[in-house]
Amino acid sequence: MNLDYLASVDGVLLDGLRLTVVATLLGAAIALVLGLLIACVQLARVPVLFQAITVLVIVIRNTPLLGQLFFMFYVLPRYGIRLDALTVGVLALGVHFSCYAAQALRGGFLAVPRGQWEACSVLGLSRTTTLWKVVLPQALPPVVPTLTNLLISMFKDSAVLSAITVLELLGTTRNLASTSFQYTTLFTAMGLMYLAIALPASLAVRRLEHRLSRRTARA
Amino acid sequence: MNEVVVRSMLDGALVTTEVVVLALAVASPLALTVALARGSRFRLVRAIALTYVEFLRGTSALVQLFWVYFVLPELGATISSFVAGFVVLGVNASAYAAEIIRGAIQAVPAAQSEAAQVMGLSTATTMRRVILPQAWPIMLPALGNVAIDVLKASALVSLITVSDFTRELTQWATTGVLDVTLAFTLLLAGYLVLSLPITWLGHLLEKRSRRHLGAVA
Amino acid sequence: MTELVNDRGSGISLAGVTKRYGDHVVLDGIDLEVPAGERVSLIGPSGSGKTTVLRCIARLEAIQSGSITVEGTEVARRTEKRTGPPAADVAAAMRGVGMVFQQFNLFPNMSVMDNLTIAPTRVLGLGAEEARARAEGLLELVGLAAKARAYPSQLSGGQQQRVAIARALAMRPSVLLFDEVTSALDPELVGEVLEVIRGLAAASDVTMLIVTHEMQFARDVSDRVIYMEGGSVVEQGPPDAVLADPADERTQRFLRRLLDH
Ligand SMILES: Nc1ncnc2c1ncn2[C@@H]1O[C@H](COP(=O)(O)OP(=O)(O)O)[C@@H](O)[C@H]1O
Ligand SMILES: [Mg+2]
Repeated sequence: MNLDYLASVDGVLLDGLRLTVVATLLGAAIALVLGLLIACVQLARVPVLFQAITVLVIVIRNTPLLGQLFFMFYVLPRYGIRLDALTVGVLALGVHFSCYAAQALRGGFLAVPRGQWEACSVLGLSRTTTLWKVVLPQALPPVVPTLTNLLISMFKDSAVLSAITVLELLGTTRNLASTSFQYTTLFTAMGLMYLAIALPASLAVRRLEHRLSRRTARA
Repeated sequence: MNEVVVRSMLDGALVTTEVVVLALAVASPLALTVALARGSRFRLVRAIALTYVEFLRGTSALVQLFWVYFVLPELGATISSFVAGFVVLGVNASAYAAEIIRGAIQAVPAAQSEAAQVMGLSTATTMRRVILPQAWPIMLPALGNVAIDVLKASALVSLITVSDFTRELTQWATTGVLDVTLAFTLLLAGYLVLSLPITWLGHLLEKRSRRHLGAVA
Repeated sequence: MTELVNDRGSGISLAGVTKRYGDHVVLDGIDLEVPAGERVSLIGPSGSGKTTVLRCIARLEAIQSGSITVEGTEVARRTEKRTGPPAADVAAAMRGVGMVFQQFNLFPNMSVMDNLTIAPTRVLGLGAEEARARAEGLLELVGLAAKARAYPSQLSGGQQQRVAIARALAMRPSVLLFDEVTSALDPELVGEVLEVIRGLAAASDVTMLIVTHEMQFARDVSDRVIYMEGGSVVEQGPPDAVLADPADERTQRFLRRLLDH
């Protein structure tokens, strides 16, 4: 490890990390909203849309994120959709992870007893009130660990955005290495930066899961 | 699409298949070992296994791939990008698989190992003959997902110059030999096709594994 | 206690109601008139369709033939697809129908107070203060004034069911449906819930349709007892007649079996 060199580029690396975090959070927002929509379509079995989404989910879950990223990066401009690399990257991340988020959310919804919907119906509550005030508040907490794990995966997997020239943490590292040749220093530092965020986060999820499982065991 | 393109695609698909199969071969024994170590009687063994899992799950396969590809040579070890590819993917997957195996082992009721112990079976025999056979159907679906994840992650080896399916198609697309829409549609379709045998095998194993256990559980 | 419920009611009426699950006929052309203010107990063996009667009235199930009228408004009829919100007049009529479930179905994510105020504020458009005052009054009535801030998981089963009754009352219903409201309770908690319903019956003129296995309670509280079996009404009449001196052999057998236990 060349610490002197590292000290001279730490600002650049941190900028890369910042972009990684930004891309992750934006992607997560998309994944959550889209995931919720997908889960609703699947639960309500909205005709046509349901079949279309089923196919989309199968494709997304069984093909590489990198491939999906390339697809959006190279094919969309052909149809007049010109987006910068970061936007494409964030979209690809969001769409990819929305399928996994949808699965988790659907599980959460299905775990809400039918009696809850029925009580709402008998009280005359609207669909919207039922969903936002009664069902979602019960469906979400149990899936928070799963969703957080997805967020962590997204943070780590956002490194593929470097393949379409986004200068997030990995892209920045490769960029620096291509001129300084300080591979060991740069790539080790980069790995540690990913770990510094992902490790504590996943330990926190573990603890949360543990607490939740104890709580449900008692109930 | 000329013959050269088709041939290179098939070659790429073959390389991808090899990477996946070899990675799974690396992952399987590692995963089982780490899973058992996670439940070891010895604190040190448990700590090492946990560190292994957390470190590997703390960064993505891509980051690990680049680290091995760029740093190992500086440390004096030269391995081909192909070997680096399947080894990294395998080691990475073993961390996830180990946690799944461990979870499945824990899901087998404690009474089962107590019963075996009362019968005088050794810990090893209990694990091999009583616990693992019952944990197997529990872990299978999630292990199937890990195998799919390995297939998906295998595309990353294209970024360290391995001529897999992704690299071949990307090259034809970016050099204008293939229309990009066609190329990347073929790319996704190709992985979808490659995932079928994994999904299918998973279902088959699952069905077989539950043949005897279904009624009791 | 006149303000406890709406008294505009004209009761419930079922005409030739048939309910099927696939080929399985669960309600076989049921006719039932419950005039406003009457208390009717539905008894019968498990699987005879008692719960289904209540669920059809509450529009939780679609019916395959016949029609159901609540407060003079036809709220359900055959072939009606029950997806999407009900028409405005149906929704208005259904506001007068409250239901208490076997499993309470309180909202676990809300305090007792919020369980009682959510529907009055959102459906009836009550102000927060008014809804709160109404809820406090009802909690007093069911003996849980001190539990307004508690969450359902912190209450005993009997307390939860009393909250559920208060929640139904918060809508000032003219019709109340009770589906085996004590079946999920430990035996020592049954009394407190039945006591609340008895009090309610004495203090208001709400129409009640009660599914129960508590024969003494049915006798005390109802004006009429209906014995159901196999999705049909077998026998009905004043509680003393049906419960003490049933005419039909099937009713006799059912009551004998209950006594044997
Ligand atoms: N969702 C359903 N699907 C199929 N059959 C049902 C369903 N709900 C109830 N049933 C059947 O309808 C019949 C009557 O049920 P129910 O009204 O709950 O009876 P009771 O309340 O008198 O015990 C039973 O045979 C039951 O199996
Ligand atoms: Mg019932």
